[in-house]
Amino acid sequence: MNAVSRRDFIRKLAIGSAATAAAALIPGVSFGSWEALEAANSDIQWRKTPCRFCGVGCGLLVGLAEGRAVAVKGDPDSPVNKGLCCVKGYHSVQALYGKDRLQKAMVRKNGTLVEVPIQEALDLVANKLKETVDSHGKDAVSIYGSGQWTIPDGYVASKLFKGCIGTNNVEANARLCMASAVTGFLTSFGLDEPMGCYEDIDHADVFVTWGNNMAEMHPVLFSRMLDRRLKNPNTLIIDFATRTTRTSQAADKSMLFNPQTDLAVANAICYELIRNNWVNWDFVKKHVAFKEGKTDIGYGLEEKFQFNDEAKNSSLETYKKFLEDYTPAKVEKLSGVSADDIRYLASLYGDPKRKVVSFWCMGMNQHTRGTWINNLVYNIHLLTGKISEPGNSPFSLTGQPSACGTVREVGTLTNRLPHGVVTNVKDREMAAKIWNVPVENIPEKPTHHTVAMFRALDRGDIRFMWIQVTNPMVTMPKLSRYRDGALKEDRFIVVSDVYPTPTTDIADVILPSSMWIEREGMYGNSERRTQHFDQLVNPPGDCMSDTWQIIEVAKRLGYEKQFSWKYDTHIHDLWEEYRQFHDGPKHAMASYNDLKKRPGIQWPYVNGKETQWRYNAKYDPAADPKLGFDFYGKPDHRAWLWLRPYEPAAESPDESYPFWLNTGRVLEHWHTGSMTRRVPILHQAVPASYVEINPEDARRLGIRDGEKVRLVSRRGKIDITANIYGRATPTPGQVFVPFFDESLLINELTLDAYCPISKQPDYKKCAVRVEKITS
Amino acid sequence: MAICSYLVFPKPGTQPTLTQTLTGLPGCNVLPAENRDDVMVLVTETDTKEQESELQDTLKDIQDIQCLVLTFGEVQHTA
Repeated sequence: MNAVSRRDFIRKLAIGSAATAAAALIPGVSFGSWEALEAANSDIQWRKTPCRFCGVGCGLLVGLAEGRAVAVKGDPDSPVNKGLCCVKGYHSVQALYGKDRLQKAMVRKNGTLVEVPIQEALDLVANKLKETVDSHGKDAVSIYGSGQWTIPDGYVASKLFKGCIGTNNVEANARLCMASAVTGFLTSFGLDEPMGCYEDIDHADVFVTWGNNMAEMHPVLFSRMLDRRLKNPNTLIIDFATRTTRTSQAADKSMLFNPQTDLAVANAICYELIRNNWVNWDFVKKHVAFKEGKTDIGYGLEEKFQFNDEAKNSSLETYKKFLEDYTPAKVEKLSGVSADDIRYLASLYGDPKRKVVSFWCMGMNQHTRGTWINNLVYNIHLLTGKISEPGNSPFSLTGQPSACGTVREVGTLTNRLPHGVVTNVKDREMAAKIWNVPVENIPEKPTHHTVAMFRALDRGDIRFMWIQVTNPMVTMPKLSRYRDGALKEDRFIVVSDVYPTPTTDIADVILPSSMWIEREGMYGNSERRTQHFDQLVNPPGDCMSDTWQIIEVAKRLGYEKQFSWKYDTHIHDLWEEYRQFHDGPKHAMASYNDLKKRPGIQWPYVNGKETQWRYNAKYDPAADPKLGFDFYGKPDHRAWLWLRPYEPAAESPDESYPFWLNTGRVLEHWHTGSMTRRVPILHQAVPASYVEINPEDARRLGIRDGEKVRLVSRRGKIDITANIYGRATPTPGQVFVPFFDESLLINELTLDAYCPISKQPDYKKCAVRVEKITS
Repeated sequence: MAICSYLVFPKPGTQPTLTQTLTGLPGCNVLPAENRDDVMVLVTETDTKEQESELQDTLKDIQDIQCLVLTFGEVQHTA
């Protein structure tokens, strides 16, 4: 390896110092071309890519030397993070080089996984797939992907399974993280994904975080909020949560609510808005319609639970009567949030001089009434008209780097197509035309959402499952049932991944995947920004991209015509084919060439211009200028305000199981830790999972910090270390466990109850007891 | 040998000519900001004390510079 000369090193320091000083004095200033100057004098080449991890979609510059990714810095040209990164981003490239990286395909023979050439493994996958279809029918095969699939990955999966094989057994782990956000958008607006963008942060006066620990989960965006408050000292951050976190500590006010009662508090805010005449009546009269749906809708616990909602017309008068059950005084008793605090929160939303951004993520989405609570926060913004303009934004944040770009935009869910839904004949005809398949191939009925799909695998209705870039043997709720189901006789499980996990442990075939910048691809982040990345380094061993694995299997199944792309140009060709689905001002996407040149482009991208705020004719070319605000996703061009009540959780604490169990993430680890636990500094920062216990509860139970305790639910138990004075504190009667540690499978304890509308499970609420372990 | 970096704030409207002037000086590399015309980074490299002194005098005489801020300096005195 060539040594960096001392002169080069000092030159780099000099440039870095000047740029850093400039950024401190003049935030947002960009010296992007400095890497061109550096590169001319340097052994390190800097290339752009979106970060591998969360849904913020930070732009990175990865430093490459001698065929390896050796450094990371934030891309100052990225409008997302403007050169900033979080701790995971800065160390992201190290996740490529773990010692036990999967490099060879493996096939289980006589119970043992043995290495085989990857072509042999792909042959076996194709043969097993065909054999299963022949013996048990098309709906006996399935693919389960991920919000970490690149857009090409998801596209070829959908094309193969829905268009060619002819099954709607296509699901992704975004069902577990974003489905309620999707149904929230669809029921309120008719179209998915936020109407605003991150630039709202630069205009807002008030931020309300709804059950979302943004300081750890979306740290770069949180930094932008803090920066806004530094520059504009009247800015307020209100944290509305079920536990005290770093977000609460940084906020101007922290409000703690009892789990599930966010539903009631949101309605109480609307009650106050109407009572105090803080409603933007002109906006409501012109742009809002009132709707009611079904109530007492269940929790999805029955084996073949089915639910379809129905929208009935309602009225303002009916809505006012409905809200009488949600006065602040009534809601205080239920929620634990004082009536004064509810009124205060309402006054912030209701103040016409303040612009308000509401941010949320898993707290509202992983919720047995997830669709409802999404609707209810939209109601607040609709009553006040604080929507679709800079600084006024109900903003549903995404967890994964491409839950939006892949799962939601490509439509890798049972009911979806890249444009529209399988139940719509015109949408099927469009897919058939673009995919070059007979329209009869594409089934018109959805089959199984994720939980139902794993139940079907357990029952034997599904016999073949291909799992890509996700770890369901750690993340499925009520885990033992679904792990046992996958291990049954006559089930064939294919896993494409980068490291060994509890999911590869149950595989019949393991395919080693190229990871992130080891292959070309695109991600789509929370603010509708599609970001392209080139292949920057070679993958190790026999690793192959998930896209190409699917293409190889498709060809073996006889679909050469539909998958005829050449390797060198397949991402370009595939993208240009895919974006045809989104033609038109409501969703047009940038060309491949445009994406390559820039650190991301927001859609709709119309006549070379990004649409930052949708539904507002001032910014959105798809909106009718005569209407001003045009919610064109709905047939009446109005946003729908839903009357959604409070209903309790599927399982609440009782005498035998007196604690709420909440699960989630920590800053340092991504999901199940398969990547971040192999980055030494991140692993050392948080080496193992733990259970957060409120100090009062700990004292009462005689539990000390660091002591091992037993958590028991109706489904399972684990022994785990107590954390009493850590970075976050749950309210009394609640415990919190991060799920990144595969040796402490907290989902053995959780419940597979879900929102009947979105089918998204609730990982935030079930009942456990905490036992002191006496040896 | 001396390697230094500066933030250069040009007088209003003079960024293009100033960029040209600075680029023409020996041992100088200029990076204008991409999204503003009121600041640039200047990196200077000289091999001897005399060259450094001469460059400093030249920079002081440039009329288009409104403000020059030293942000890094590494000086190695040769015998």
